[in-house]
Amino acid sequence: MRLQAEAIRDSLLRMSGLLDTKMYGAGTLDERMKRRSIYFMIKRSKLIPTMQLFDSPEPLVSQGSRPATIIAPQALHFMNNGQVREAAVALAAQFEKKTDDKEAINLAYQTVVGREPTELETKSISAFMQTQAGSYKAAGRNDARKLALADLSQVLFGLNEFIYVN
Amino acid sequence: MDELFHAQQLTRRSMLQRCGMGIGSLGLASLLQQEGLAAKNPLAVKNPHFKTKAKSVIWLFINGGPSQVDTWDYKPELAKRDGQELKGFDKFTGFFSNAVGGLMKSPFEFKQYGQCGKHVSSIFPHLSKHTDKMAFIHSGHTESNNHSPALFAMNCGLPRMGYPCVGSWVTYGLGSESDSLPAFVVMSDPKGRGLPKGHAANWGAGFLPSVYQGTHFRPTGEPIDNLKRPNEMNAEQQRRQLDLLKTLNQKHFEANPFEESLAARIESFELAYRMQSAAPEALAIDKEPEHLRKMYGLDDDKCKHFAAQCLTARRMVERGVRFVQIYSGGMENQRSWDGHNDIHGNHTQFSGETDKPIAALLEDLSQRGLLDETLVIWGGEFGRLPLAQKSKKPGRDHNPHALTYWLAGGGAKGGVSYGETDEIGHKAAVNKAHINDLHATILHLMGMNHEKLTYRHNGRDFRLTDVAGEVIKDVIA
Repeated sequence: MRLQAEAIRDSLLRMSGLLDTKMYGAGTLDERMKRRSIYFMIKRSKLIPTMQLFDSPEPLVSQGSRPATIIAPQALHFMNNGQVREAAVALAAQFEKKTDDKEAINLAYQTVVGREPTELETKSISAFMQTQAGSYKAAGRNDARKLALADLSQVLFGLNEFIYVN
Repeated sequence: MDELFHAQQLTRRSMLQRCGMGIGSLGLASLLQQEGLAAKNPLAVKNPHFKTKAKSVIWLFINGGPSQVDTWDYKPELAKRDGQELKGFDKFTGFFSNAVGGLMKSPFEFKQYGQCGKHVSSIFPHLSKHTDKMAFIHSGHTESNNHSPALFAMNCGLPRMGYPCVGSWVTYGLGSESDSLPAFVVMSDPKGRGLPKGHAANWGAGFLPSVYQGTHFRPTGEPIDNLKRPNEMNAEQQRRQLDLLKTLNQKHFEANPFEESLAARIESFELAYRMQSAAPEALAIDKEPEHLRKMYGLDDDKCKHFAAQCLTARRMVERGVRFVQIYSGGMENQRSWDGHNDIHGNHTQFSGETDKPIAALLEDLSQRGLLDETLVIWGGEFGRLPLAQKSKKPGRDHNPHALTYWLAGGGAKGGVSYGETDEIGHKAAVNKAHINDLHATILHLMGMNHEKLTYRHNGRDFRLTDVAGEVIKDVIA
């Protein structure tokens, strides 16, 4: 079963610590808001693109079950969307406190998929971290490790294991 | 190494799941992996059932229900009986049973065009020059007098939601020629008039694997969101990110080899990566020469929105996109061809939006030698009544009993007219063609036998044409 549009967005906000848990009050059409997706206002002519992208149903008719489509624009969302990146950067700030890469990777896995990484996963990711941080350093960035961790967070958001549950 | 990984991944829960399917599934899983079948690209090019010219389809969906008697189905008898009551008419045929008027002649003048001498309404000054390329089907009829079900029927073969649409079936049957663009693209009204009724169910894949569903371009702004990578990242760094993602997802898939969607999602990231560069290039209609942009009508406020979509469609099929569907008009009433009120004004407006761009598309495809391999389809979800719908300015109500389609290129026979409506254009009368027949013909032109293109679902083989459909041979060259 694939997570629904709202759960995908809310999970990213929750994990990255960006979620605004304020309850009640009016909804909004502003996609950049940080409250749960239930606070998006439904306006026929201005449906929220991210919600539509992940099969949020047409709000005027009832729908027995939502489809769970798999299309390239969804992948582009995980790769390039400004808010996904923002969540990845915020999440990386949490992992950065762990100065040991292995510990950081452990925490990352616990946060995103709720388990420890396997040895093989840790190995692949450590290698990635080193190369990626190296490339940022070579480009003159002094926050190279943080950027590499943000890139890693984004990779974990893209895991099938995150979006498909059960 | 794989074995070790599986040993680690085989949790108690997944062990029980596997045993539940019988120990045989373990053998099958490894067989699938050996054959590489499990990770097979569902969009790989597949051979058609027989050799054919057509490679791609551009379907101009004339949304809302164009009136056959005001466009391509010339009915002099209707003009003679203008104003008369139609005896025995079922007032529940359309939607407004309390507004049924008398027979109403077309407000448009018809003249003959082309070698075939086809009578065409004056609302198509540009398209009328191309009648020798078109195969008309005048005897079409459908199952519903209501927009959503009729749209579902026209797109998916049945007047209910949840079935795969023609674009999905064609993509499923033939795969994609492009490895960097979506196989099936849908464009809807960019003028804020809404989506066709039933929305995305019209380009949904139903029970087919979801990779075959249409990619809907956003009607305004950037057609595809999120095409630019984050500022701080270069192409190499993003590639490395995706390589890691692929490695991790691949291992996960190997542990769950029966979950097709996992493989499809892995592939979707690769397609997305390639789309980042291929899509902006394919969408760059400003790179087209000035004379061509003008021919499509990009300098004409009345039709430039549809012109841009038609030109985009040509660039898409040129680059291997299998199926493009463009909707003319948004939702119902005055927002699409749904001319309940003022049929004259309504059809003048929407033909004005589309006539020049579609004519240019036919001309352009033809000049490039692409028309032979591109099947162009024109038509909507139903026709309209030959009677007036009473209103300040009279309109026409829905009519499921008669509709006109034309096919051009892609092996369709130019200049022929198949089937007839009765003498006033009310109901299909001669050589009636059900939507199943239209679908069978489209699949045939794409090289597929509609009885053999099946997908097993809920314990039986499903077809686009259900258990009916005859190929209309007369419209095939």
